[in-house]
Amino acid sequence: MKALPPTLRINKRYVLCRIVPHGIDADGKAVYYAVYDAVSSLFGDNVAAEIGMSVVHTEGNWAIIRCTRGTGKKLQAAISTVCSIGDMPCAIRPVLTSGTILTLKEKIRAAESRADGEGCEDSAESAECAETNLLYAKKDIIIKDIPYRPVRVSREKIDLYKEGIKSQDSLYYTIKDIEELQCNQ
Amino acid sequence: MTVSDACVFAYPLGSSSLRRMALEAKYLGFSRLVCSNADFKAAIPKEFVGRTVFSVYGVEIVRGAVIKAENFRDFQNQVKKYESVPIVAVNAGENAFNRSVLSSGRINILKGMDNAPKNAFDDVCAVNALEKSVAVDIDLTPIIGKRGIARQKALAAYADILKFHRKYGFMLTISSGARTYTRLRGVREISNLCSLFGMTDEETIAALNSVSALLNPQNAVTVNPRNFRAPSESGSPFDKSAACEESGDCAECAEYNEPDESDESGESGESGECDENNGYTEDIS
Repeated sequence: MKALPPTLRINKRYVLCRIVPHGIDADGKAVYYAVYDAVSSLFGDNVAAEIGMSVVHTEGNWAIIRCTRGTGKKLQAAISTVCSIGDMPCAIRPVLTSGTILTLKEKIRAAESRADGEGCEDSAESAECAETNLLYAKKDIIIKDIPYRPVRVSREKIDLYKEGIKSQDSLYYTIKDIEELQCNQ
Repeated sequence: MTVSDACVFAYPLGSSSLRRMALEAKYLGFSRLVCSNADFKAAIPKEFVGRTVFSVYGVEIVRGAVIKAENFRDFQNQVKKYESVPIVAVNAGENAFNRSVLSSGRINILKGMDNAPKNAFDDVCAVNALEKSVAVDIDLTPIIGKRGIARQKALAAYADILKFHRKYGFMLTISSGARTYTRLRGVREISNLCSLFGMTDEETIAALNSVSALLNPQNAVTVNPRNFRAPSESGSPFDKSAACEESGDCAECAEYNEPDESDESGESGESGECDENNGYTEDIS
């Protein structure tokens, strides 16, 4: 079959999305099912076919989702209604829409490099940040007599996780909150 | 412009601390959060205990309260507890309840319209909401978290409210009802979600700003009776100011006159008229 000339091809748009909380590392298939479920439940099969979404790239907490031009807003509205990927409760936040994947990949790289610096301007400060993060990452934190394991420590943020026999529980704190808690104990 | 989320629940009701919520809200473009925890003291950082409005990471946190009342008497009993709370919200109920709650003038937000019966909010409620400066809340929880018939009902209810809002002009607020930071939504996301039931971007921005109007209500303009004086026999102050403009002798009026006009009319230069015109505070007996 002969390929369509460029002027007759359907134009596409690419939406860069950030998956929160960090550390889920969902694969493309899981993200696709989550977003497709959201699109079809919100708009129905007819509009879902019109949007023609597909996940073209995932990298850490980032995903690039493709849609037809002109349906970007609908796709973003549907993405905002995603509450979980698989069994993991999370949110997908649309960040940027572009006509090329390359631009979005550059944005991912820029955001990642910014995250490595984590706002600590000079090297001494960043070393101090890393030291504090290590301090909190190592030991369990006890909240209301229940030990929580830190799963991610980053600058001010700290994600805690408790795995029990009956249930799992996640808490999202800041370092200041933890310091306040430890002072009270 | 202060973009506000009209209702969030922090730890211990939710799984994110208030500081973490504020951090995420800042990233998402919000500058104010209304924290509606029943036990507000347990939710806020220790350094802010006793305060109803404070700032965390540059995001203003305002104390809110949500009243769930079965009837109006129950509401009256409960609302007494929250007299010092800046933002008081009430869960909507039947039509009669909503009317009495709105006309009581003791609440700021009527919320939970997605769970209310079909004709719970009508024209009378809309007029009461406008007169008493009560906002009607659009909660995004059912749109984000629910599927199927529940979401359809919520969208239909919000579309109805939007119709009344366009007709009568009462305030709307938008809340995420987030119990964890992952449930917070950004301004553009909210705009996209609200477009599902026909809200325009301008209306969404106005609704996100309306918490400021609730915190600083615009009262009617009043005249201070001490500075008020009945107009004199010679005519209204407007006539006098016109006379001053003609004469051009009054220094205050001369600023606004052309220099050529002031030279022309020298005969009717009663400067006393100007003094009389400006001196509302002088002759108080």
